[in-house]
Amino acid sequence: MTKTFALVVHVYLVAMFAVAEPVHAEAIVVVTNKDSHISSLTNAQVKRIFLAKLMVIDDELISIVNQQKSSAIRDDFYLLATGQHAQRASARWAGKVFSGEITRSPLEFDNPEALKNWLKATPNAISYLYESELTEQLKVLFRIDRD
Amino acid sequence: MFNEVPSIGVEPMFNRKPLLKKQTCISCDNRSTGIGAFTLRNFSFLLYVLSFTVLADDKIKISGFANTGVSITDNETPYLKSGFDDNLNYVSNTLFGLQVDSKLDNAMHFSSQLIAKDVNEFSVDAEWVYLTMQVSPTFKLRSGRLRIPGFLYSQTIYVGNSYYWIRPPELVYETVPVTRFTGIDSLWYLPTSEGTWLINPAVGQIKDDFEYQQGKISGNSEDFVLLQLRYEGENLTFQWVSVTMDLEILAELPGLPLYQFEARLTQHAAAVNYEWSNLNFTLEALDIDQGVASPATARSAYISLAYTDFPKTYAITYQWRESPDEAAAIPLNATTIGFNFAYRHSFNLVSKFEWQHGEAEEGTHGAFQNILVVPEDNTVNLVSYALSLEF
Repeated sequence: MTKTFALVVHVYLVAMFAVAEPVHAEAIVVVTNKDSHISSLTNAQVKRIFLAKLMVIDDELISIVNQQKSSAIRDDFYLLATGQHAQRASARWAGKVFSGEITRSPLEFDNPEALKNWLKATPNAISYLYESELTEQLKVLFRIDRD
Repeated sequence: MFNEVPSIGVEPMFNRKPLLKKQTCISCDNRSTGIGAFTLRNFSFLLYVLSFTVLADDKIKISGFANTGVSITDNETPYLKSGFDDNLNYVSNTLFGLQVDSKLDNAMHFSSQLIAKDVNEFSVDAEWVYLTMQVSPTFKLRSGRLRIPGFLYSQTIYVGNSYYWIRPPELVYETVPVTRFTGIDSLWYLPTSEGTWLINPAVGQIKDDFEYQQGKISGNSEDFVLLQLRYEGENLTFQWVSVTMDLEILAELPGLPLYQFEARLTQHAAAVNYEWSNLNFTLEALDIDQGVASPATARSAYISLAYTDFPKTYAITYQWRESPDEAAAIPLNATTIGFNFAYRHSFNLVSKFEWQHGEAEEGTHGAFQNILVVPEDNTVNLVSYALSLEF
């Protein structure tokens, strides 16, 4: 009986890993419209931007665009770029919105294509993508490598 | 400052001695175990929400938040502004908030935040309503009814999702319950390579009824002046706020004659927050001088350390308050130590548990809410559970 139970557990775990979403190993890039005046960002600037501490760069108002909630890239990006979980960072944005300091939280897009279209059409909108999703209309401001 | 009204230079009326050794609640919240009734005001609130929902497009953003919870103490004397006692209190932690942000054109925004509290039977109050004019990327003007940014969390005090406590430290935040003014302010941002400075001068007036468990206190001021200076860096946040005003106070407190007086109020508050990895350290201090014949100055501070092991956050907070002037009618001297546990269920839902041990200095009221008597038992254990939602 015990062996049967152990076998079932083993098979279940193997199956879970077999169907699990593959872990992305590629870099994440922080991007903006290719015509933006912003040329690059530092790691500290990226952290401040996505934690709602920096709204103006080079005398230009910026707007943040997020990938959809609970997407792997959003979780990975916030942990790597800000050191905070995306949900925790979201609470910080809530504080800024409900204090009246900013008028709305970052927009969210369900898929990368819609997000890229928004970035192409919106000067000084900043977001993040997997490096393989880059297009010519976007400019890389910062690159996050995974070691 | 207004929380414990007798401290506002009322020596001629309330003598510090003799204070009765008795535990009575003059007029504490008698709805502490009830559920607020549905009223016509609630219906109006609902209509307001629905109307904006229908109108909503990309120029109108509607968002909101809600808190609910329960608290109980082991002391029958009402404690803190909410008047917590040894009965389960469901109402004081329960509120709904609705925020409407509307973009009028590229430079003008309209913003309003409505608050409905269970303790007020969910009657709706516009906590702030104002117009914003974005003059330049780093400078904007706001005019209307605005929140006073007295402390780090003053402007989101009702938004439980934005901090890990159930209530921001009461010995600091409840000492100054006036939360809003009508006037104009200007937000001037100065980004540097390390952080962003904010300079925010404001002028206006105050005409408000302040929340108070045991009666009604009205305040009027025609010359409210505020200066906020804040720095937000990668890990460090610093804030300094100074407020001055000539304030007329009208106090209608149960069992006491109507009392009116004027006071020159100056208030200074400083705050430091430092985040390092999973640790979060906060220190805030407050100094109020009411500048009347019998100055009843209050000073308070808290220090808080939190550790986040996502989705859990553990925190310990120590608070202290004193009325350094011996002539103060009813000293507010108190200390508390509290332990918090917050669990984030999702992006917009967090539950919290808190235990707080409070102590009033012998012969003082501390954070207890009696006006004429000191509590027989000057210690209290407050246990609270809360759920905070954002939408």
